[in-house]
Amino acid sequence: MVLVLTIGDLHIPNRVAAVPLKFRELLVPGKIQRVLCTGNLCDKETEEFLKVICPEIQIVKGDMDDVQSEYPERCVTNVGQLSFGLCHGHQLIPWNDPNSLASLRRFAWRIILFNLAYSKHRDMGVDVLVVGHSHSLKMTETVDGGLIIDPGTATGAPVAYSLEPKRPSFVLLDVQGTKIIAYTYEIYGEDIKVDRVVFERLANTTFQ
Amino acid sequence: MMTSPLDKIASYLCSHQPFALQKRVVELVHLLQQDPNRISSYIILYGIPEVAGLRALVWSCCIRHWLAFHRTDSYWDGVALYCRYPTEQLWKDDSCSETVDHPLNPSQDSIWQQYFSDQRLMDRIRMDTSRTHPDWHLFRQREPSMIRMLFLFAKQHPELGYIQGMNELVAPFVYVYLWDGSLVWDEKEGEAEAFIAFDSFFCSFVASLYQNISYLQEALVQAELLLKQWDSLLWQHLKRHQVDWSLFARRWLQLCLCREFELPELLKIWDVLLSIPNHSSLRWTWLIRFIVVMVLHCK
Repeated sequence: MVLVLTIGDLHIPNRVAAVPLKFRELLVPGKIQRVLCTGNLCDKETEEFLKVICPEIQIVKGDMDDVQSEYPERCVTNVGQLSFGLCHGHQLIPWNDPNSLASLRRFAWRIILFNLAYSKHRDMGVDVLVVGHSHSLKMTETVDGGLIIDPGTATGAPVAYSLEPKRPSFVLLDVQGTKIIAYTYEIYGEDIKVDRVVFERLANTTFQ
Repeated sequence: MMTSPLDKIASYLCSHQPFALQKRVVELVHLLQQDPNRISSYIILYGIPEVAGLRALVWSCCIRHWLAFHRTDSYWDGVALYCRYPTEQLWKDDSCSETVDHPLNPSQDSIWQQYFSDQRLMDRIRMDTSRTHPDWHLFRQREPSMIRMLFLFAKQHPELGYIQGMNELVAPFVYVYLWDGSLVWDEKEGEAEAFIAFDSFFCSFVASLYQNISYLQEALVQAELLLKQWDSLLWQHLKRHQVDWSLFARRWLQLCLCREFELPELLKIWDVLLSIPNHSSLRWTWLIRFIVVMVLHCK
């Protein structure tokens, strides 16, 4: 019964001024127990805003984040009986490719990036992978019982290679044992649309 | 001679006790069934014999006698109803509704808003119950039961809600029904019985003090008049020093002396208090007189 907020790609103040008012009204402290942020906050104030929502927060480094900010590249954490992996996704070439995302979920420690050494850890995947960078909301179930969640951009910031504005969105997960109920919040014009999707029978590989 | 279930339980409870004690228990149980109106005078004179479980039986009989029929499973039904996590309710009633009720829903009739305010209430209750008799292991073990009882009471009586101090009033019931009465009932039934007892005791007796400030003031005025009648010297002394009765007597009345006496003595006082029928406000009179006697004793 844990409420986990997945949010990211805010790009404040580089591409957008602030989080939409409708989202700020919803995101009040006291309701959410964990926050997983996919990165690209680009601002200390935005980090404070997210910390106010919930003090238990994990942020990973995106490609546009401040060079001085000390976020890790990747993060693995347990929520209830499931293991969650968090990564921004710009490190995987080609960007937003479903196959490389799926293999990142399965072999979370094995991806070789630039000078990162091959990890001596055991080959442990995660049950749920949370990535960003595509700026579009997507939730995919993999064939081996895993889940890949992309909460999109919470501010509607455009991607690096196009000026087209994106739809603001984030995902709230209600983790109950090995069942996840995902509530997706998107802004269509002036209204917020909330949708609920249930993912049952997720595989259980808790990170030790 | 026909033995009722009460007789059977009572004889089981005191089966290993000395004969004189057994006789007293039989006498008490007989009186409970035949002539309940005289039970209070019996208890004032002789007290309830210290046999494990007997006090719980006597309290239950006194409360049920003065109360309409209460089903014990209504307690656990209530707990199941109010302590549900929102998604289970949604699965049951949701068919194809237009809008999805989500955890961040700010509207007041959202199930999730109810859930979060219930969680805040639970936190307040938990904070108080952790401070009730902090040195007694019994109460640390039974803390979940206390929290459940107080939460259900607050939900069933929204006009009263949860008031700080209810945790002290619940403690003797937890002791008597869940510890002392563990020979008579198992854990679940004991908790239901304790809740019924607490519910009826609070609603019929103490609630008026919390709801209406004038009742409290009236009671204090009555106590002052009594003291004037019994010991005018002491009354004048208090008046001269402008001692306000609500400074000390308010806590005595509102908590029914829970904080003034240790649990063993408190139970003896409550034996008498609960055995007095409430419908003629005799209980109030007795309690007020007791308070005045306490003041006299402090002299």
